[in-house]
Amino acid sequence: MARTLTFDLLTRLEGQGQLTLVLEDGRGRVERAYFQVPALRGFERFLVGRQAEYLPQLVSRINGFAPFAHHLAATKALDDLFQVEPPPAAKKVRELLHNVAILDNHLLQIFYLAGPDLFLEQAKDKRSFFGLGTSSKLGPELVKQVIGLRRELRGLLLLAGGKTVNPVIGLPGGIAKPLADPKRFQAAAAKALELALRTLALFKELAKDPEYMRLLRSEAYTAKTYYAGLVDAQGRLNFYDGQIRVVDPEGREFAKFPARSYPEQIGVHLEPWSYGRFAFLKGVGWQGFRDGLDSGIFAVGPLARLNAATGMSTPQAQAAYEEFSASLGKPVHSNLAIHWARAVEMVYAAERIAELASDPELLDPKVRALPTATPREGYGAVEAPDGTVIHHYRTDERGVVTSARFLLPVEANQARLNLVVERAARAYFKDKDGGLERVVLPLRGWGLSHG
Amino acid sequence: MSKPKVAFYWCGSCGGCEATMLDLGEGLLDLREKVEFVLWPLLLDSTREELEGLPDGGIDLALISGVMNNSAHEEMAALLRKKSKNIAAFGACAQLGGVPGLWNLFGLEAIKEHYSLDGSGPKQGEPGPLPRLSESVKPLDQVIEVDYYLPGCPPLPQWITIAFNALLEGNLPPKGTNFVPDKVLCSVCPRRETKPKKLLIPEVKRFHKIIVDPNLCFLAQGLPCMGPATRAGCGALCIRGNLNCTGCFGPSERARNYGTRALSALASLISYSDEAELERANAGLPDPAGVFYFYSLASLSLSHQEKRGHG
Repeated sequence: MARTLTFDLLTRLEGQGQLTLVLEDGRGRVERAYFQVPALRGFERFLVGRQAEYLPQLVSRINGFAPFAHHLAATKALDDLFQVEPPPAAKKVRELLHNVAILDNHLLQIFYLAGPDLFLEQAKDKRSFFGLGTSSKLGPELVKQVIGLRRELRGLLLLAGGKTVNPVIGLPGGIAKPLADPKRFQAAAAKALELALRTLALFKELAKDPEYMRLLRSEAYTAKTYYAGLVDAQGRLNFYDGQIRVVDPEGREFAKFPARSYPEQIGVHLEPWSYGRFAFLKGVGWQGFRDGLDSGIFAVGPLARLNAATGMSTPQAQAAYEEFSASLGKPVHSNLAIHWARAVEMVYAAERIAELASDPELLDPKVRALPTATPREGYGAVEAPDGTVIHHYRTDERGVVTSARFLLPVEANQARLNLVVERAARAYFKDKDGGLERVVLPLRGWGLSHG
Repeated sequence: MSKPKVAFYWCGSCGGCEATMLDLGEGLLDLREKVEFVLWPLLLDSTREELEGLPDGGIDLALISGVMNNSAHEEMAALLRKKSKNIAAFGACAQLGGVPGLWNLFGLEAIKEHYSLDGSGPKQGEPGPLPRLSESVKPLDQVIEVDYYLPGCPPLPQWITIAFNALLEGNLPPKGTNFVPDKVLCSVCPRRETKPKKLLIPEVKRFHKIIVDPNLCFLAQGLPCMGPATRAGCGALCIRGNLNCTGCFGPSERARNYGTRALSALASLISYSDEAELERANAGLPDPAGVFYFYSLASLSLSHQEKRGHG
């Protein structure tokens, strides 16, 4: 009989996950490993019957670390549902806030959650953010800069989005109130760019550490899957709008489609041992838990976005992207590279905030277009900090929800995370001495929020 | 004197409560000097064995966020109750069942059917059963005894700070205290001067169908607002954002069933002379349960305290 070990208190992850290791009898070696979504809140079901205009607020509660992403995906789905085009200022304010929220979450993921793995000196004590200021390469001043920038960014979300966590701004056809003070966004963008470049420098420094690079390139943390992310008309990364571009494990374009086509492109596989669904590419098919060209498993998120895009639309982010690719190749298949990918995206977000905040159209007081059409069906996709989210709603003619469907990052990534966790567990887990930390490592930075 | 021991655990949570805790900013670094966090999965490495190894009552204050909707949540809540002198329900989900409490409109069977959970167990060599989903979503005080409440979706740092100061000064208030003072939102609303006293409205309006006046009371515009019955813990954030209060800070003591209170505040303004007119007036509110029990549907059954007769 095989023996199983279950770990349900995993730490420094954005969301909850469970890990089960099946050990070979006698020898204590890992035979199988499972990453599981251990809970379910039932959003898709209980949203049925709700008034559609409340969806952006209701769905913010899917992920309290990425409430703006879900809020905006639902808001875009409502534009589509009510067939109404928001005024340009409304779209720009949405994108501006979305970039602020992504930048903020990237700071949280890199420094608070993954930081202790990346930057702590040999840990004497427990690994946590609290140690970063005193016993890491970063020093107290950088830690204060991180905390200070997050305070500033979250202050902007409050100011313009109504609330920091769980915004109140999205309405079909626009936003609830115009933006008041773009200067504060410009000032924050300059500070954000400085910190983003400092963060990037930390990763370039890490890349000189052979031990770290050996870990990053280790087969144990690698899966050669497909990748997906939103791109603009030129194929460059965009967080707010565009088409979903999918590349194969060799980096070639496999598909490009709008949110509306996702039911034809993406299917879901179920397993009795997880409440989370396993999304896969229908064009390749579900071939079980394996990677490669002939397996439909794909990933979303910062690493996947850089793999799926052809480049960045802002100059310093493009330079950062080129350095990232020159150091690690393209596509990059290591789960551990997600943190560096985030740093590249921080540069982009900071530059994009600066661009949008100086756009004169941003201040146009016209931020609503009233819907006149009868609602029927709507799709909305954005990039959440942790990956592509798609919302799909149907309503009756009163705008009361009859069907709600989501693609969540954890559903897209769950199969890949299973592959990597199993490889890591086989390589590093030892029954008696533990090694759990090295099995959890490739989950860090990958959002686990479930519906 | 040793530092007070604090636990911060999430059950069925979106993480927003954890995010708001981090909004203490530099204050969190100071707090960490004064208290010992023995459990906080988001931020600190710790294990179940370490938690189980603590003496009963060894944690001075445990903050629990999220809803209770599976067996693992209930087991963890019970373990933390045993290990803690004081438990605070942290956020609207733990206090009232929150947005996920809307599950209770449907029940477990409907959820299972939607997610194709056919009850087939794991096969040989696969992990054992997942935490068992509950029939209904429950707030924390329907599962264990709760000492304090920190309301909000999410709570705001100012109230968290008040709670920690009380702990650090050895001056925790009487059991059952809600850390947010009992005022209704209307009393602090920037639009309160325009709140109708006798005004009658012909129909309930919907936010997507009108351009909302940024200065006029929502009720005066025929729009639903939870302000008349909700505890004022936010300084009217949503209203300043030009959307209505949805009630995330929970009920004022004067309106325990605050959904009904807020619904009647709106209903009392509707003017009608026959049933056809009333039907037209109500057409703007096809989902009163969702609008007025946005966060509190799961709290409608009796709380743990009330069942035991001391609430």
